[in-house]
Amino acid sequence: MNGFGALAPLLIIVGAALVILLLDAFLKKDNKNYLACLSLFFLVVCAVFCLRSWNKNLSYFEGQLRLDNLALFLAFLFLIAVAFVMFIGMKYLTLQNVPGGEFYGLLLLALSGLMIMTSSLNFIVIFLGLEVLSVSSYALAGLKGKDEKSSESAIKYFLMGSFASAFLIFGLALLFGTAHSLEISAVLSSFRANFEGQLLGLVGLGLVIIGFAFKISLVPFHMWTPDVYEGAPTPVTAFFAVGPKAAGFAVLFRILAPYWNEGFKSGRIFDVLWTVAALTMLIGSLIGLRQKNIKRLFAYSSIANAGYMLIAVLAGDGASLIFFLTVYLFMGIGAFGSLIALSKKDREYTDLEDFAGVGFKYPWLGAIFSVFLLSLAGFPPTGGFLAKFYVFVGAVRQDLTSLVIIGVLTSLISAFYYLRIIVYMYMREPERDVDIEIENPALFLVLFLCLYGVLQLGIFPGNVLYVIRQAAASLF
Amino acid sequence: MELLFVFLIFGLLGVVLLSLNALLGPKKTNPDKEQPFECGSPYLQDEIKPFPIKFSVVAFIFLLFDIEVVFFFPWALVFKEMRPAALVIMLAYGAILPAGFVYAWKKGAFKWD
Amino acid sequence: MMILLFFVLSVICVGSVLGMIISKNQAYSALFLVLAFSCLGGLFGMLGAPFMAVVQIIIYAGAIMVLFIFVIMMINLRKGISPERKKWTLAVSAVISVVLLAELVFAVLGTPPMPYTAAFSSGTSPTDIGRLLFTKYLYPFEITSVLIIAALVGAIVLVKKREKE
Repeated sequence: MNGFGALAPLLIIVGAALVILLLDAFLKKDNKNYLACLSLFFLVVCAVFCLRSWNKNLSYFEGQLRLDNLALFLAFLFLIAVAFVMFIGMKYLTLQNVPGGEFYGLLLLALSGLMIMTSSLNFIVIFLGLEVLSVSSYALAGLKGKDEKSSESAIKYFLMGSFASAFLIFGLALLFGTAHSLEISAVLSSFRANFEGQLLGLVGLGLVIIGFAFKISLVPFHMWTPDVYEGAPTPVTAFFAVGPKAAGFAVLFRILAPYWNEGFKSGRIFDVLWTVAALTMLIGSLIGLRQKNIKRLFAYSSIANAGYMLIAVLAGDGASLIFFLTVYLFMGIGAFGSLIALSKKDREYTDLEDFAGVGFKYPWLGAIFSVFLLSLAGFPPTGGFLAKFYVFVGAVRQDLTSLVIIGVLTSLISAFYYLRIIVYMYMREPERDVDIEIENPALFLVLFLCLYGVLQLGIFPGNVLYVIRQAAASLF
Repeated sequence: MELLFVFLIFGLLGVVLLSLNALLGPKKTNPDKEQPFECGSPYLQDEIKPFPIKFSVVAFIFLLFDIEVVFFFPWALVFKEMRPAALVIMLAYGAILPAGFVYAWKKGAFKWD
Repeated sequence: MMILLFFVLSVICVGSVLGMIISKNQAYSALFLVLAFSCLGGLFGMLGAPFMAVVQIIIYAGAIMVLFIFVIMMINLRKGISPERKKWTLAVSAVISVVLLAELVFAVLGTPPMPYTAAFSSGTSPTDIGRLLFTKYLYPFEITSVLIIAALVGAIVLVKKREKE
């Protein structure tokens, strides 16, 4: 089962990041698009390696690197997400004065962090992957030149992120103290074997969960999300909304699903997370109602969505969780991509007022954006509807009915703010002069692919679901 | 145990050196004497001027390479007993180091103006 | 003897951390932190982990503090202007910290002492650490190099961005 092949996808990505950074440093060209094409080449090579390892269960380093089907599927998702973000970034970089080489290089490094995190069952490796991801993310958030908000968001993200890491590592220390090992399975079996020793381990596990809750913005730890989303360059925000969230939930699921199976399903951690899920959905949808800035609004939307994903984690329902993450990738990147389409030199249109009348001025863009919004709100026949539907059905089967009722109610509330954007686009007279500067083919390609993804997953999800079930099955 | 003595000796040495001055030194003082030393002329500004940010990036790069180099110590200790593997490991680890160094250089992190 | 040394070191350590928080002058805070790190190094040494002890001094008390001092010099906050604090946030954070402390103490007291065996049987000398680092923990070790390069690129790009303005 061993094989150097298990390391190949990761090596390719890290190597690609180094090549991109060095090329950018040496060539000093003004047009950075060649870097995007080069990165895309590496991403495709990596994707091929991932596809070839499917069902092979490769592992390396005594199982610290484990390419099971779940890791491969998520790696594939991350590759798609990063490719999309790079393409929607191409227009943005030139218009908003963002250094291109670092953008692509750091994105690739962040991608390697994501892949390290999701392809391991060892807490140390997961922690290091998370740190690689976070450190690259802090820099990505502050990339925008001459922009106070971007710097503010980088600082805020950095401080909050380090705080979260401190919690995480403190929790890991306590877990190591009780289990003498940092393999997830060993830690969980120490919970089972050593019933008196549980208290310290319980505190440790709680602290670890807090560390992850920061990264995936669950409610008491969500404060940074709106500010960071607003200040960061928009393609980076799209990445934040999709990448770290998916990885965080995947890791949380890897820890908690076996934990529930050990018979701790009525334990304290479960109850606390139940409350957190309810609060996350409520706060995400209620405070979102008051937002006038679209990027902040999407931040609250991503908080609310984290609540729905947490329901799937609580239900121990891997397939629904992964399906939700897949759909969220397409609609999230699609929505932020539409925002980027509505920008010109040194100016982004992110106020709600800017969207008045856009639907008639740019009919295609308006229509595509509306589909993404409808999907986020959870209307059939989009993927967003099916994603929520599967999560709720899975939760009802696990006796989480009251949580599902809260989920349905908050979806209704949040539908209001998504629909309000559509109302502005189609039913208001434009008050400000909004004009798009460049029609960028790469951006529209991504928008089209996201649209296709959202509709395909909403109408014919069969094939993807089949693959996802295979991936989720590799957990147990 | 040797380590204990190292800590004790140097810790005590620090304490002794700091306290000896206060103990033995003359304590005649006046406000003029307490001023920061500025060649006899009245001093020009109240406090230290803000440092340029370049200092911090140099400090940061120093810190990062410091952390990398710390790992060389245990590596050197076990190099003999696991010779072929250790070399490959350090090459893989070290390959990233010069890449970062070249990157920093090319980006002008070491340039002063 | 050892227990005496332990108490001396830990009292100095906790005291200097308190001093770091209370001191109004950031430079003093940084120096208090150096003292705390040195004491921690001493404690690691007493636990029989000489490598950790020395790393604690070299990296934390040495390199990281250089960075701290530079940042303090760079920002140059004026003395005496403390950030505005609301009374109730102070009260709330005090209560929360006390609860957290109580929780941790409760958890430690409620857990029977663990046998000091299996995990630590491999020894703690620098050679043992090297052996572990290059066999069992090889993968995490190599990941740290990726982490370091990410930090390097991030730091340089953010500083360069400032300079252009």
